[in-house]
Amino acid sequence: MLKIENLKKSFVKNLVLQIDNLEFYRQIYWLKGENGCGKSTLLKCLAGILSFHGEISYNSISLKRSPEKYLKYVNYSDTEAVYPDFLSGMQLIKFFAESKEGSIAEIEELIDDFEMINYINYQPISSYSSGMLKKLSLVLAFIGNPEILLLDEPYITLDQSAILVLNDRIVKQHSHGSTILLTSHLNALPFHTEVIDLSRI
Amino acid sequence: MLINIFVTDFYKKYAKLFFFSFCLFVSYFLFIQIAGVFLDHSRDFWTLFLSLQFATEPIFILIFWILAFLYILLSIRYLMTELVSRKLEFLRYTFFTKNIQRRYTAWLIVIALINFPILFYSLYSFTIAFVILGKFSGLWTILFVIFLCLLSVVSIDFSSRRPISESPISNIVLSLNIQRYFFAINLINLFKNKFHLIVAVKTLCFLAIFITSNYMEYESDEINFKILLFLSLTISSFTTVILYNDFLFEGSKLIFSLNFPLSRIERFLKCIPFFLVLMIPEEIFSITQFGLLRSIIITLTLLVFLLMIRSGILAIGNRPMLILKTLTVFYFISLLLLLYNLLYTVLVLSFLIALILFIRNYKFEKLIGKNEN
Repeated sequence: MLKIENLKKSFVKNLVLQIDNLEFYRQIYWLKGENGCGKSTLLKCLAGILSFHGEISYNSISLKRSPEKYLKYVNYSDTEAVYPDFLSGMQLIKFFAESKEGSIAEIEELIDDFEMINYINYQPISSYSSGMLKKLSLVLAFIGNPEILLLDEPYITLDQSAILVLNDRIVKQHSHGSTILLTSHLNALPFHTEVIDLSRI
Repeated sequence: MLINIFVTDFYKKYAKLFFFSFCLFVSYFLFIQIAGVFLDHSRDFWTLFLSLQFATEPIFILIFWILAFLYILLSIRYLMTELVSRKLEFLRYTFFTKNIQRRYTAWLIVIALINFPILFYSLYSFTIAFVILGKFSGLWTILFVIFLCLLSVVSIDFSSRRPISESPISNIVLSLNIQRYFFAINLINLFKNKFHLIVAVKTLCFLAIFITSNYMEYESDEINFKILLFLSLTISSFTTVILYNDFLFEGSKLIFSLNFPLSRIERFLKCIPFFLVLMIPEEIFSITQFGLLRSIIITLTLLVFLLMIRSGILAIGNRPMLILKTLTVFYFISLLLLLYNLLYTVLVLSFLIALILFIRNYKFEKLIGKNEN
């Protein structure tokens, strides 16, 4: 269980996020809310990227006290992912696979599903379109069957076939017992989700 | 992949610095070889002179230690800046999930490769001194460099595995009344982005003050003023590096300040608080070395020279080599005038030229022109 207690996040002096108590189980959670209500900030705090006041823990493993142990379970895909642009997609995938203990079969399947085989090996990231970059960030997020999957606006810039693949992947990941948190401004999602409106928290 | 991300990028980023150092070395050895035709008996001595000195002479060892420290500081700052950049956010949930041994090993390889020039030269210097003179003193330098590298590993891993927190500098900026303390932006930028440069320049300035106060005659009133003026001139020349970087910052990030409703004279004088704060370390050190009155003279004359150099930079624009040449000419002409006791002429002329140059060139147009080229 992913647990948030007394979470507060401010940027300089502006409090952008305050959550007293929130628990996430092995389900798909759809974080909703207006722009600036703290959806991306919450995901970045959960991914250990941003500092915060309060406590975040997964199965009693605290992010603050044992970041190495906690972050082993977490994968994250940013809204507009940025990576070192001189690397190739495959170099990054191998690095993620080594860190997250992903298998070669799993990587090949992901690359195949998202139709990235033509450019993943040799093309540098600097030459990627925004859609290609988004696909790469999603592939990286699914590597190693993460127990906590954080997807920030996963549908933007994706083409229709990639959206279908993503939906399949999310459902599959959920069936493996992962806790999935995603944000989206779409009207509906084609799978069952628990909706959390951050504007009301 | 970390080697690709950090090491390759570090050498690419500082390629100019390495090329310059390489040219210096090559020039030195070429000079020795050419001079060696005439000084055949001492050619080998001069070829190995620097390496021997860096491994045996205390003052040269100290200089090498300072250089090594500055270089390693530069590498640490580079790594820290890169690690908080957005493109490397992914390392927080990938690389930092590895156990401490694997992380430290990876950092050790990265830092050893980045600091390879320093490590290699200290080893080379030690070998030369040991083989020729049989001295072990160069070993201390190697140990010092290794110690700094290990310290870098620990500090980088410790600071960068924590989540990115909001910058305390941003809090300071927000707590300031920017209208009143506008110059603080320049200072904060310098301390945040050019700290190693400030350390290097201040070290040279301190050295100049120390040498002037201890090794030059300054008892008589007339000579006193002349020497103080010479010292101000020297400090302001060293500070040109900082002023040039500040000029680039103002020309790119603070160009909106030209819209402020200020007269040209007000614009000309508004950097004085910035100079005064920037020079606090030199002011304090000169008080301890020369006393309060002489220190005030140094500060005032320093302000005039800094205004002159700043106007010069604005007039020349983003052409560092031309700035360097102009500065050299300015320095030696001023020195000549000082030697002929034309002390007030130097000051008045500097102030007038500074004012005229500023009024004609205060709009950063030269910076834009250079960038377009």
